Amino acid sequence: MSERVKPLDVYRLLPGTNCKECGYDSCMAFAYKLIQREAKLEQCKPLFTDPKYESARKKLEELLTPPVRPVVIGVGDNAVTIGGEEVMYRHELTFYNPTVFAIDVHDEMPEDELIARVKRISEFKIERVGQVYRLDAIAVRCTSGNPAKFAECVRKVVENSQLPLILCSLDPKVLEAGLEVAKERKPLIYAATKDNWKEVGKLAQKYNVPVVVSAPGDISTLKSIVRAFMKAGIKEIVLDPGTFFGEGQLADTLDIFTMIRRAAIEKGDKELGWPLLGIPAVVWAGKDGASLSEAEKIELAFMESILCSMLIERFADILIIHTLDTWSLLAPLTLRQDIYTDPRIHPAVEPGLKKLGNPNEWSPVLVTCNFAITYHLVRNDVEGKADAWLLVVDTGGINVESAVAGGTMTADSIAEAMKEAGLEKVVKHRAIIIPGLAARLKGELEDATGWDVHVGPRDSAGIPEFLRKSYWVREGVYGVKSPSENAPVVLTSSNIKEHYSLRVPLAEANVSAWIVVLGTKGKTLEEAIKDGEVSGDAVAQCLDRTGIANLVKHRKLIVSEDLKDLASDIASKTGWEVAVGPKEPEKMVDFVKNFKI
Amino acid sequence: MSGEEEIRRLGKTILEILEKFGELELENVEIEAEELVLNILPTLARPPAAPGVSLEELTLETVPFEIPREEFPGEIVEVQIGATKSEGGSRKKVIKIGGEKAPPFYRFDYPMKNKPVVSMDVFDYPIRLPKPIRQHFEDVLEDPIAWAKKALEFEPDLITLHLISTSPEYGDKSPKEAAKLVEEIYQQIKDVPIIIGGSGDNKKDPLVLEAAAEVIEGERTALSTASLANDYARIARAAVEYGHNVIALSFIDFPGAKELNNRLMGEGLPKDRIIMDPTSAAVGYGYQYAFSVFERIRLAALKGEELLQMPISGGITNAWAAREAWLSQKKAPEWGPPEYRGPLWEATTGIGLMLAGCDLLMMLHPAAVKIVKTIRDFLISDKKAEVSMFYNWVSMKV
Repeated sequence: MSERVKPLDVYRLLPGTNCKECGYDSCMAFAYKLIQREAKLEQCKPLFTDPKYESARKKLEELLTPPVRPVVIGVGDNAVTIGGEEVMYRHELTFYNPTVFAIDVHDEMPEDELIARVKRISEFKIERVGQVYRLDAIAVRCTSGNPAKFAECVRKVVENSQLPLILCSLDPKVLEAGLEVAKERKPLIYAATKDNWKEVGKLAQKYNVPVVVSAPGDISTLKSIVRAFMKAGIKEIVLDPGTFFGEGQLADTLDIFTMIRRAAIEKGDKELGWPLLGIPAVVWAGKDGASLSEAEKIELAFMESILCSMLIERFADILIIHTLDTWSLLAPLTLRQDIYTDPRIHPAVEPGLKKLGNPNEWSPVLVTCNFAITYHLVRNDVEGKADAWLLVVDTGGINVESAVAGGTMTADSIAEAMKEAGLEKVVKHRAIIIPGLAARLKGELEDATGWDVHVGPRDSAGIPEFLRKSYWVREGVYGVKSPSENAPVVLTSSNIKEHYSLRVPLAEANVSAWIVVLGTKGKTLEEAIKDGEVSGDAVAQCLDRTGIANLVKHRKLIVSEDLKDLASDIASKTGWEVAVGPKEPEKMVDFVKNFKI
Repeated sequence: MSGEEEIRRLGKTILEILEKFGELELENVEIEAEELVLNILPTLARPPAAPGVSLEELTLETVPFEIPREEFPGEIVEVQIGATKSEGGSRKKVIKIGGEKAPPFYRFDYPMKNKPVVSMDVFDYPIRLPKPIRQHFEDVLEDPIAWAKKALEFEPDLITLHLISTSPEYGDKSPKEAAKLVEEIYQQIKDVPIIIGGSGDNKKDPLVLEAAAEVIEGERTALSTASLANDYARIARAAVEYGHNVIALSFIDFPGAKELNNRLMGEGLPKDRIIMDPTSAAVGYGYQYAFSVFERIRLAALKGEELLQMPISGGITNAWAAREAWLSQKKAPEWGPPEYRGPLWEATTGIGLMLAGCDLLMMLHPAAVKIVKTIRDFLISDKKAEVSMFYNWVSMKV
């Protein structure tokens, strides 16, 4: 296997004067940055101005050229770079230039259809967790065989889109007609074959555009043409070794792509050291668009999508695709994003308590892991829709499901994170929401912390709805400070603020009591009464369900002033003596404290 | 004016000469060089196409291409799942995975000895499934044996029974009860091997898997899973005692995977009784970490790392953690129908990881299973590419 260039190899060729003109402290530091591709050779001014460094500069340029040379298609802001890769496996360094997605149009499409398709390609946009996915280029195919018709089609594409182009025809006359219209856009031309290579090569030279060399299934011929082109001084080449789909054919495709990339990267084959073109659109070849059924179209779009993803993993630097359905493009676009993520960046975020929006002391507390992807998903899903605290637990940068299974997210680790964040001081309630995928930790976490643990949705997309529709104190009995069978019993609503603004001060004042929570679905007593949802019957049923009668010997129920008007109804339906206390929680604490059973 | 025109014409001629010979010799031409430059600049301004030989003078040389084969010192062990009657089990068919001598599907290095296999998941509890999957199993969710039979209609290579009802979350069934179901499913379904999985509860799984291992002694199932977070030793010992394999679960953790294999072997479990699950992730949800840990493990094994020379298993079902797989069209109209999106997401995740080294794919959606098997078979076949038809894509009218 060929070794990657080392900083020392580069350093030896640099001036060695440590002049700092490049912006780095030393030539060695600059050499290191060059290897990491974080600095450009041009930053070393002496290399380019002092003639005595000329031979060293040339050697450096050679040394720093990646084994798969970069090729630029298009001009200006929309230009795309393909190739420029140094490794076969992303974990060895990183992949640099994400596979370009080019969508096809052809010159016999009705004009309105063509323009609509071109616009859809150019405006295609999917936003996903802070990332925007777009399509990168348009491949114009000549199906008419007519240069004038092709030129007209290219003109319409150019007029309606700023995206880089690929002009596709095996007829040099057709290509030239297209180039005349689109030459200012620096399109990629497809393709030079063993039959037309001279003419197409001349077009590449004349218009100074990158050119695809095509030899389906035949690497030897591919190399022959590339060799001739390189001898002729053609500087930007893309390889099309053929994309084949079907039994055995797919295996051939992967073999050929892999062999070419290995030859370029590990065997130093310069003729094969160019970007690879994959053509998932071949799944549609031989089909007649007009007679295809909906079901056939879906199956082909499905297969084309899979072929895109496989080619991305097997070294394709640019793809020509026919399908424009989002459902079909979404998977390979996402997979491309994944594969081209820099593996040198650790996937963890700093653990600790974070703000989502503008939380206050009554805002809910959500728990998650410190895997960057999960963290950003949660943030993205909640911000703007709810204000909350996010407690990020250190799971070693792995996701919730694996962290629970692997023992890095446990009741103890969450409890520890709560303590470190000083959560008891940050919020006035004692409710915490764990991810649905960590549901099994609920019991242990309640035991470890004494907090009420709510199990949130399995997918963070559901958090805002969860907070609206099911985040409140569960109906039931809650004991404060190990109450005895003679401790007072107080009724509260299930509203987080109303409930905990009594319960927490009671505990802090060291008052033993039972709190019965009436199921008001998060409403305060006042709201629930206004909505006609509180009655003597409702309270009686609540007491029955909670089984409070089995926990205390007495039959005395303390309610807040909100229930003053309903007190006698409650007393008659429950058979309990009802004591009306103050509305304000702090006064209620004293009331309960001094309450005589 | 006429002088300028002449020079322009000359410029044009020069261009033609340039095209023909690639070099320009200005002999017997008496004009001011500056003027010439000025006039031909508009077309010549781009970087010169050169120094090079004229294309006209070149012919295609025959350039032999030598296949860049790589010989790897390491080899993946072959693991057999299931045992026939003569081998002490009751399966009509057994599965072999592993045996690779080259990176996945690098046929030019070595053809794959065994093809990757697809297992379909069956649960012993009516677990909440995304709608695109649920609709295929609606009538069998309460009955794991009926579920398994239904799954077999979709022709997976094998099936996996997940005993999730043993989890405290889903009913907390005892190991003994779970083992009874295992015994029953093995009696009722004999066509394919059946992998036995726990609930993922670290305390309960070793007990459940041990009880299951005992009642199907000699069947050479795979016990799923042992990890550094549970009592892996107990599971390994049960596998040794009752003649089974173990699936070793690590969490996107290269050294952790190695460590676990080492410890399992330390309990007396032979190397060819271990399958690794380095943890899968859905495309878009950390897929790249799974992809790279699979690739790293496989390459290290081929380069000679003995503690990693085991086949790899992947929970491809994890693809359904992606909301792109299941979110309804109502909630995500721009993404298109989940009926296609869902199985495509699972198939993409599965095929992607298969190319990274996954030998055993645990899956859920029937269509995804079908696609993955089709692609797998495409990749195994020796049929040659039909080169002559290739350029049809350029002129197709779709």
